Amino acid sequence: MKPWITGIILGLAGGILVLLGNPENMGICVACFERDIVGALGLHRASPVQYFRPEIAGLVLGAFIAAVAGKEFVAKGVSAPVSRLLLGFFGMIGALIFLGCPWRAFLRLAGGDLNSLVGLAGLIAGISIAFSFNRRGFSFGKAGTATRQEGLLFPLLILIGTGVYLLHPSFGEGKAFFESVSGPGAMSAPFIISLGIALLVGFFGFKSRFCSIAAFRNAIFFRDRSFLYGVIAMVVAAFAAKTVSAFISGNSFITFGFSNMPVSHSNHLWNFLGLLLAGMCFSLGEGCPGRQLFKAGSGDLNSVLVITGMFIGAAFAHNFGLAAVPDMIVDGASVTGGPAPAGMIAAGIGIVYCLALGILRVKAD
Amino acid sequence: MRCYIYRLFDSVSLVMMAARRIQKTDYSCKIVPIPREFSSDCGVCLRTFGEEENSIEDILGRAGTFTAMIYRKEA
Repeated sequence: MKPWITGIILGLAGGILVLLGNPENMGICVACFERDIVGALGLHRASPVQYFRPEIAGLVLGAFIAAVAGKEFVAKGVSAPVSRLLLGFFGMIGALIFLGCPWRAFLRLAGGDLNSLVGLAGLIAGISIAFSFNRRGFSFGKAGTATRQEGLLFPLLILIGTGVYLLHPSFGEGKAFFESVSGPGAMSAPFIISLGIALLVGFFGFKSRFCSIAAFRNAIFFRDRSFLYGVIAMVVAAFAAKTVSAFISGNSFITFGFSNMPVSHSNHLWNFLGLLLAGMCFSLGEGCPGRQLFKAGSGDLNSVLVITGMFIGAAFAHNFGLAAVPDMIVDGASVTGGPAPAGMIAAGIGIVYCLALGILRVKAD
Repeated sequence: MRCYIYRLFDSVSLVMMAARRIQKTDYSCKIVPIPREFSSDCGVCLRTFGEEENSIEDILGRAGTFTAMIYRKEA
């Protein structure tokens, strides 16, 4: 299975899910959708971004099915658990300062949002800094052992969570799950269709090992472009899907620009630094956010820790006002969005953390 | 038929460390993506020539660089 096949599936999935109701240029975004789930569970109180997104469950369970079917499900034990948890935490902060994970950066680019080019430059810079530590001997040390049952727990938890959501339980006066009535969280494709599409992406994503971090790292440092072709295929497919959907829905064709793009800000410095932080975190954490879900579905407990860190990061990002706000039009004038000072400080701490982790965990050759 | 030996390590850093060790000698190696048939990991591994397997093993053994998995594939 070639990564470009997954790239096409992922790009088309992004376009189709927007056509069916997901937010513009956010057909599928791991960081945003995990943040929405955290909101649905009431772990943050940003009311526009609360919805139990089935795409996350689909990605994990699709990878799980692929791993089991291919007899590749192997429980892998953890190494440096707290370090990995914090990488997930700060990686999420970085993604929410940019307003999206690398997958969303590709979808935003396909949708004409040129801010994603600035973010992708930051991502590549982050990957390069992290790789400089790899070159010098960065290591988390040898992973511990894990039982098969331990590896099965995360996919099982995801399955149970999705089942519970579908039962729409109520406790006391309100529903157990929070749901946005306006904003991105209120925009969603039909649950079952989203779940089905994400299962497909998860299956092929695991089979092809699609990873946006490996795409740039391998192309730049190892002269291997197989994963990069996956990313290019994703952008092209998403662009094609968006063009077709514009014809179907009768909307205007894609417009290219920086200001007032959907759920995006044009603060270039923080677009760059947001994905720089995410690039460092997910490089050191061995996989982009989507890849972490695929790995968790195949029994990798290190990825479960990174994902858990991302969930905690999402809660902090909105409870402490660390996430960026998109560009807005106020009284007819365009107001540039971006992170509040608290978000800038958190990103700075995250960058210092990654540099310190990289330096301290380098072992002499 | 010439064959390649693929050496998988626990981290990218170990791959690069092993490559440096080998490149200091007369033997050659290349860092390549892990072939899909060997692993579901998106990382990289070390590719060496089959006829140099024992010598490479000695070099890495002396350096204390632990190879997690070794696979053989026709060139």
